[in-house]
Amino acid sequence: MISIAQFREQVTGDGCTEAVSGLFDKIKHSDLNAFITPDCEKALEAAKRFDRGDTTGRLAGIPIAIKDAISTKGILTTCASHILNGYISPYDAHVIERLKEDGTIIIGKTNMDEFCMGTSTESSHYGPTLNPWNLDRVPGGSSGGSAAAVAAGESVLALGSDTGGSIRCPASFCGIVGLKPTYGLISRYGLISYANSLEQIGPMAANVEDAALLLDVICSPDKRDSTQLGSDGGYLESLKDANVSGLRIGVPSDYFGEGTHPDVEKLVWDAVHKLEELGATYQEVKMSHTKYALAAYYIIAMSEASSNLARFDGLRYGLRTPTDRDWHTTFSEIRANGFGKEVTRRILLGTYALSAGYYGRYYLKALKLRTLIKQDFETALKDLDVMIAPTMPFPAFKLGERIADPLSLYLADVDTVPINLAGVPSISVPCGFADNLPVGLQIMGRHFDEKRILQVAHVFEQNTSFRRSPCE
Amino acid sequence: MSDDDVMIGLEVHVQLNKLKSKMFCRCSTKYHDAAPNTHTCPVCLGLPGSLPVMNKQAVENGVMVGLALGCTIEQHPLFYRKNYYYPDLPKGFQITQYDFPLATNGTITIETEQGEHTIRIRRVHMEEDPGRLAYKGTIDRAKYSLADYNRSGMPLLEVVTEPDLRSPKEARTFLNKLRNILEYLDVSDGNLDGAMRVDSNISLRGGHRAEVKNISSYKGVERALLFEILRQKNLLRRGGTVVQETRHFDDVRLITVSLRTKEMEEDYRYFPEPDLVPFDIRDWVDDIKQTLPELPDAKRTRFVEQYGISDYHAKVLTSELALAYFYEKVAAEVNPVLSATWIADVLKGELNYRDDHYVLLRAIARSPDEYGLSGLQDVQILPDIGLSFRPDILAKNEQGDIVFVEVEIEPPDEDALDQISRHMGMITTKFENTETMIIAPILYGLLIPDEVVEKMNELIDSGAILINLSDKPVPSEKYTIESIKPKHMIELLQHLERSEITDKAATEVIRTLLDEGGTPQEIVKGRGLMKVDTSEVDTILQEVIDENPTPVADYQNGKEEALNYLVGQVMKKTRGRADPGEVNQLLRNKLDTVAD
Repeated sequence: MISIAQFREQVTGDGCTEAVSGLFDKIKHSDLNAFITPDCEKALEAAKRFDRGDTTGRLAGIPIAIKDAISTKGILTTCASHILNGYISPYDAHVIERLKEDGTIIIGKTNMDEFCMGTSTESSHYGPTLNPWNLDRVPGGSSGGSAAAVAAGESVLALGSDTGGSIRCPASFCGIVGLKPTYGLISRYGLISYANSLEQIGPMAANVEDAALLLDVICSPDKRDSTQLGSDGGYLESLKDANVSGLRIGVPSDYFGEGTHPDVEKLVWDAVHKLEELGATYQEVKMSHTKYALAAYYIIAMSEASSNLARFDGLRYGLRTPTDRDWHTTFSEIRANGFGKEVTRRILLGTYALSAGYYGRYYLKALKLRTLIKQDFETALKDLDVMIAPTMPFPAFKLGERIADPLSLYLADVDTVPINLAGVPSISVPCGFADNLPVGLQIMGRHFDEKRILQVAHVFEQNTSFRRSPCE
Repeated sequence: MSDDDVMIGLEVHVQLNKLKSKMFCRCSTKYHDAAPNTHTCPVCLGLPGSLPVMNKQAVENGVMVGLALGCTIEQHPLFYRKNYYYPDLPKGFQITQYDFPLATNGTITIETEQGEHTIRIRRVHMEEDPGRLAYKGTIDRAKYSLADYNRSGMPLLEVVTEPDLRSPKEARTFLNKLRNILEYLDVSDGNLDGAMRVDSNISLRGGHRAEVKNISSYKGVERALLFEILRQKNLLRRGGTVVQETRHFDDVRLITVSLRTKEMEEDYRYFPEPDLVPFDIRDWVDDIKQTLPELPDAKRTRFVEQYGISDYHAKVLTSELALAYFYEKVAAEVNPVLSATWIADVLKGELNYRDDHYVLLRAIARSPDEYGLSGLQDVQILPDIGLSFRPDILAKNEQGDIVFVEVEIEPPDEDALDQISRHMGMITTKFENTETMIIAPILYGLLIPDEVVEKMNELIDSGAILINLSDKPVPSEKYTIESIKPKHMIELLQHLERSEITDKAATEVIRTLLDEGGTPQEIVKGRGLMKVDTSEVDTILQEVIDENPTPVADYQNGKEEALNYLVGQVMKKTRGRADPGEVNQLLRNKLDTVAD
């Protein structure tokens, strides 16, 4: 794991090109399969530009890995799906434009669950990514490649996307920092939609300061996303002199449900007490609709996915059958061959949920639950500043352990999906180890109150020593 | 079975092609002459990761139309996704409206032979246009289809009526009225290809309704409805029942064919579009109300009241906005009633005549060179998907030869006309069977019988390309009210007011202004159209009397018809520059005096 400060220390003179070459050596010899498409050539060009002093942004010369769900002009964008075979986006996502303007070095596209649908990065068409802490374990998902790359020091920063926990889960499993911003903070223009009313692009980094700086760079307003407000940043600045004295913390008991690993529960409570020591107060709160969150989440996400993924028909880009027949047959064949099992399952379930006669029973009901869950957060956060809970109920599980049983995989999202339904921001920071695997602490805040949760996470990080690299 | 048994409802898709950019992206709407897929971007191509952004002006246009139709405007309209697969739909869903459409419950009043009839408007909603598919050759024979997404994302307004229309003719009248209103609102240019497309529901009282889709022209609406009504009547007469189904209008064969029955109807899985945020248009509505222009009905009433002209003239003059403007300019300078008569009756009549022939003229305006056909004797071109596309392949007959029907005629010649008509018949037949055709007689400059124009226009509607093989140029511009200047009309009518020219001469001046240009002054002078003065008339009268002793005697012996002959002789000598009534009176005075 390399922080921005550490990377800058390594880089002197022509050092950036050398340091970036070093990263590519590491990627080349890595067993993790964190990258689908490393982009050595363009990265080295960018590094040379930095060494010549041609780039001046706040993240100039800093390597970053991009989840393959984010459109990048000129490099393959596959969403880890066979159906996007050979697709090169003709345009950059808003966040990519921002990173390029700022002089970052995009080192490649990272592995993920196909179309962001998963919690383990095992559903990728390009094979699973492994957890750098233990190669028998999953890195979490769906932004597993981004998390593994940062944890293993194959990149300094990474972008992920979070629809139901896809940034926070792998951040937790790989022992890094990952932030899911408020819905509407970051432009989704260029993010390939899975469930568009739930997802956000967010930073993944070695520490809270790096995540805050990356957030500063990507949060500007973008007219091309009507659901985005953006902000003028100042997140890194807000960490100066951060403290938690007088901070009011809520601990929702509903997030320590059945199946929560006892060590995880203990580590989270230790963290709460640590913050208490540092001047915060806490109280336990009840979020009574949490138990419906998983069901509501999966109905909404699958319904939206069934529509969002309709465009992949092979006609204009991506996978094409060798011989075309009439259009329905051709579309059907391409979609049958191009989508993996989990994606197919979610499209079918989503199609069913939106069908005439079922819409009211499933989709509308899920939307109502979503409103109630949002109200739970609003009510709780009226008198509290942040809420603290485990990110994941357990540390990284074994490869293959859950993939055959979709329901057990879905259940792993129990503590992350309510946050997406409510649209509030949440950050996962390392808070210790269980079974020699990292555990993440989840800090949730009010809408657009990223500064507060970053401050709490920063103070916690500064006063603990759970930030470690896998090899240490 | 009377017309009362027929119930027709229309869904009219109006392209808001006056807007600068598409519904959800910034691509230009001016794609009509562009090469395929050049007016596209990640959004209207539905590329992964692209997001729609609502064109506020499009919604404002929609609100204008809603207000003009007397609708209730929805304060919080919502966009939905309509999910279905089709190659022209790049996202696999269309962004449209479902619950909470832009406007509901309006009316359009039309005039019918039975008097005024109010057609209820159920709703007006916004949506994006899909792209379009093109076929090399015809849809049945093409080995593959080509997709063009230039049209994808064009802003569309769907106007849905209740089933209040009682005949195909009423449907056409309704569409004309709607088009008139849209013109006044300046939201849609109805002349552009694909500007207005119609789906219709037809049922005979008590029966199921059939939906007929794919009607893309005004004439098509009437034809499709006539066919469908006939089909349903025949079915009922034979004891059958009409099933609820969707039918497709085949605009080549002019029949409707079954597309799918109710059981096969797609489930569109409508749900609110998550990429667009809810919005409140209450504040805009008041602003838009302020800027709403005077609409056709209001203008018509005002013309009657303000200028004292007949309701019929007011109706004609307000049928096109440009004509109304023209009239008001002229009426400010010349007697408004005289102006109305000459503009609504004479000028409009001349324009209509030329307009009827325009489509034909436009079609034959293309030179053979344009198609690389010069020097070829025998050529056939496959009908393409419409005139806005260039035909890019030459068809061959079964033997692989390029075939062409050449008609050489020297206008104007009665036999030649026969020949054209005959060839029309032949070619039409050929067209129906093989669905390939070309006809290229020289027709410009010829007085073309209406049935030939009609027939050729039909062929053009079906996608035939006609080529001008003559050495005569064809006017490249459409005749409109803009073809004549108001100041020229004013000048002309002032001549009339001062009785300096006859009605006949004035008509000739109008025709000359349209076809050859110039000013009324020049034309009147150049053609010697100024009325002859009294002394000259007197001289000519005397000449005629002297030269025609027999008719003179006949008249004096009480044969009234003989006077008509003499008037005719005077008119001939003055080349129509005298007033026939005046001449009649003068002759009477003279002959009656002599008789005494």
